[in-house]
Amino acid sequence: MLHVLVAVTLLGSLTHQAFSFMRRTPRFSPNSIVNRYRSVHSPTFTNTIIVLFLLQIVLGGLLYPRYRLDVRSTLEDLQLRGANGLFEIKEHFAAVGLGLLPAYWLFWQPPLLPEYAATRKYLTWLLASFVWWNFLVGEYLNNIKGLYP
Amino acid sequence: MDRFARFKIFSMLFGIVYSVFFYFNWSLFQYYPALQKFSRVNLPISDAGPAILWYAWIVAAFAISLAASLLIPRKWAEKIPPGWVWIAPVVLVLVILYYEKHWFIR
Repeated sequence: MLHVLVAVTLLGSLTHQAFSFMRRTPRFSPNSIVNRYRSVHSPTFTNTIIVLFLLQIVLGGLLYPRYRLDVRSTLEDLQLRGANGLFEIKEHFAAVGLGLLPAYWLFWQPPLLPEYAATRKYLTWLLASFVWWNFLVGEYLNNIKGLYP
Repeated sequence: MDRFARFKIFSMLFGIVYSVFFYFNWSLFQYYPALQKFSRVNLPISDAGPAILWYAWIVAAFAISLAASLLIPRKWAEKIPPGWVWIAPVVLVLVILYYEKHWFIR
């Protein structure tokens, strides 16, 4: 349960930060939800995101033995190879994301130099993609017994 | 930025080292959830159940990337173009997805 709550908080923070790179669009008024969502002060999210990501790794690591014994064997019994593959990718994304945290922190350090804006953006988008993938796969695997009766 | 330039090396290497260890199935230790214990040696699956190698891959990636980032001179680290820091993991992700396709294609 804690793993899911931390995941949702991390997902919200990273998505906010990732959206902050979107250009302000004249299609929406400055007070629209789209422009308000993307106009957060994104550097303030950085340390929180790093702490939440590390916490997620620890919580995921603690849950892994139960997954390996209970869920994975069920997936193998049901011959759901694809579901196992999704989890394999999830664990690799978690590891690659973990390794990116020092660079992510570095490029978000003030002053935010414009020459590093692209690197900052792509590192943030990469981390956001990993977190979204891992969240969706985690939820899918969590509910898989209900999906395949 | 320059003071922490070595972070770029760490981040670029971590995913690569992790992937090499997982590709070759190298691990300095494994965890056996059924026995709830770590082991330096491979135990038979009939007695110990399945092993988890992921912890060992993370530890190896951390140790090797940290050592390399401390050993490589800071001046070299400063010269690494910032783009490499995100391009390297993007390439790695593509390699991982290609490698893992066997789960979805028979």
